[in-house]
Amino acid sequence: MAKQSESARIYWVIYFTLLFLLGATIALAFVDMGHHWNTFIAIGIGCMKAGLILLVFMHLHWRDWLTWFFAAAGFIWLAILLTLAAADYSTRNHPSHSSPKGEPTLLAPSE
Amino acid sequence: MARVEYLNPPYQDLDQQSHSAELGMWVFLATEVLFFGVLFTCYAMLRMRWPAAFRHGSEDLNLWMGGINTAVLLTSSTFMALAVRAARAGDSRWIITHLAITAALGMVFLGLKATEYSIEYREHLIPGLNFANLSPEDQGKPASQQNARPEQERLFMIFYFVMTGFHAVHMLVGIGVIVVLIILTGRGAYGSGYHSPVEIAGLYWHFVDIVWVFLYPALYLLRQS
Repeated sequence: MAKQSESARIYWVIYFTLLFLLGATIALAFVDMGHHWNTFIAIGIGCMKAGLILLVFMHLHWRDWLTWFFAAAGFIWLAILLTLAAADYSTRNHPSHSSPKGEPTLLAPSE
Repeated sequence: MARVEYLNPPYQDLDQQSHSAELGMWVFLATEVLFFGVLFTCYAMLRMRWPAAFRHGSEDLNLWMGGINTAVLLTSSTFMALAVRAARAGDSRWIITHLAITAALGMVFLGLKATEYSIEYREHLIPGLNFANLSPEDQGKPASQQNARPEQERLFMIFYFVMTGFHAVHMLVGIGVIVVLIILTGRGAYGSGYHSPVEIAGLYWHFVDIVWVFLYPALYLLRQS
């Protein structure tokens, strides 16, 4: 296990980096980049912020493989959930609204 | 002596006990990832299904209040990290100061969130209570100038209130934990020898921050195609 520096400086560096990323993600919300780029970039910046918090504030950078394994567990299951759900929804109803099967029936489509 | 008092079976020393406590908190956080993950997954699927209605919903939220709240939470997380650092150094005065700032910023977050909810009440955006297809300003206007809300914006607002509501409950729990830690630190419970509760409360607080880091862009910022 790597020894962690006791200096507070790293926390403030990460803090201002996080604020910069927050400013960037707000600014980009006003720019229409088209082709879902806004969504990808917003999620990407969110992942960068989460990564900094996990590595430094939650000390994962200084922890051994066992802690990484425990920390990753929830995210691995979430990735499986997202992949299978996205695989289902992206392959249904081609062309859109044409199939009576698999269409959500709770709310009628209006768009 | 203090080191021995806190040691519980079956652990051989405090390092081993602290390591186990930390892994236990990560296991709990894995369940929390899935709790919020299911909500995010459903939200993403519905957003793909009704993009225009969800975009309209994002535009009805207050982007700047959400942004200020994000900055407040990031600041609180920084002070939480400093509290853990003070705990390692065994400096109980700074543990208490940093924890108090963290909890106070948590209260600021909840206050701003409550203000946002009250604005959404006035805008008739709360499903089941007063959701209307026209905002109060639009009701007096001629039909051609009205910006009517799509029917599925209700779904967006339901997800907004469920997700931010559960997040706010997690914040309340975190503030409660911090208050208990402040009291116990004041009684001299934590120092450089033993501070495991401060460390794992920090993990929880940072995790709640991470949830908001994803909630904010997902709910407020996706305003373009």
